Amino acid sequence: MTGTLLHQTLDLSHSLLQHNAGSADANRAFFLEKGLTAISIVSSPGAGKTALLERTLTELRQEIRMGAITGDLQTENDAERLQNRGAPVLQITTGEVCHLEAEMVAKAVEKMDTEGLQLLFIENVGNLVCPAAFDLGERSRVVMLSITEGEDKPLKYPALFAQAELVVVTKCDLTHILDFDMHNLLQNIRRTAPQTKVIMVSARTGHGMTDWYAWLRTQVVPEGWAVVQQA
Amino acid sequence: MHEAGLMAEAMNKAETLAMQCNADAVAGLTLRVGVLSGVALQALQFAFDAMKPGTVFEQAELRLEQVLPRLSCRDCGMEYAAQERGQRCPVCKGSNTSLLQGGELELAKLELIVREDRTS
Ligand SMILES: Nc1nc2c(ncn2[C@@H]2O[C@H](COP(=O)(O)OP(=O)(O)O)[C@@H](O)[C@H]2O)c(=O)[nH]1
Ligand SMILES: [Mg+2]
Ligand SMILES: [Zn+2]
Repeated sequence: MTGTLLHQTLDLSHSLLQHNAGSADANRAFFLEKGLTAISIVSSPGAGKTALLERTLTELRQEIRMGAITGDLQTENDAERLQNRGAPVLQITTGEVCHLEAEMVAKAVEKMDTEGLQLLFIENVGNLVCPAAFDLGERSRVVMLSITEGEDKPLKYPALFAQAELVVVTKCDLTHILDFDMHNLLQNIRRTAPQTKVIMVSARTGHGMTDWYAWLRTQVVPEGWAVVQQA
Repeated sequence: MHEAGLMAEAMNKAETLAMQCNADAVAGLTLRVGVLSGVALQALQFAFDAMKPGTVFEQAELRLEQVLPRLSCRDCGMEYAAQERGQRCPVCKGSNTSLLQGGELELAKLELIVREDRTS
């Protein structure tokens, strides 16, 4: 009973990111139900994501109930830097994986006490390429760029910049030292992400942090919103 | 760097389908890869070659179809070929655009080898 070998062709359109998309939708539903705003921060390594969060968790702690998840290939260093600021903090170490995926975020959130939290920061693994392909279920994606990286980065990593709800340009305290062409950078951001809001900060001096805080306030779900939705 | 994970996802899905069809082996596997998906074709090929020995893909050929970007203008409705995201509308010069194609990453085709007496 050895039948003839036949070729059979299946036409498909199975997205390779479908699995992640499902988990991201589940995260979104979870955050929505809790009235919790998740904001992911993406940048290259060393742009200053953790530094921005250090200041934010300290300076806004009286006003907004915040938590943070930090992703890195190795070490718990970032979570340690964010400790003792009144916010629950959890480190995800991804091992080999160069980006966070929705399921990793789901597992981290499960371990965390998110009751009553208003803002959850998700610091992605430092990488301007791969995170672009993975929706985490966050409400907003913030792309950070430190001026030491050069004016042309938005043109080199357009996929990520195009997704940004907000671009935070950081290490602005170094503008003069680097003779940085801010106008050129803004033009390059406009070219890849015409609609995106841009703010300039220095986590070192605190310059521009009020703009960042003002934007964060627009992201917080007003008290009672979840109840209104049900009515 | 995440091409290996994506290739593994494609191969898992393809293997499941091959089993459902009672296939003996996979002859070919086609992925549709948007130019703006951020994925490197050589890295996909490399991952495939590394993972296929000893599997149903042992003899399979991997085909990678590139998809060129197309944008649509939300202001005037124009659809046009583009080199990059955010490329302005050629008609109204607007920048309020959305990506129609060029960002995809899909398992598009699977060619199976099935014995005649097993086809249903
Ligand atoms: N001059 C200056 N240095 C900064 C600023 N923000 C972060 N850094 C420094 O940049 C380095 C990397 O910062 P870190 O927060 O760990 O970056 P991450 O990898 O994006 O989390 C550290 O040495 C920080 O002290 C800033 O606004 N100005
Ligand atoms: Mg960090
Ligand atoms: Zn137009």
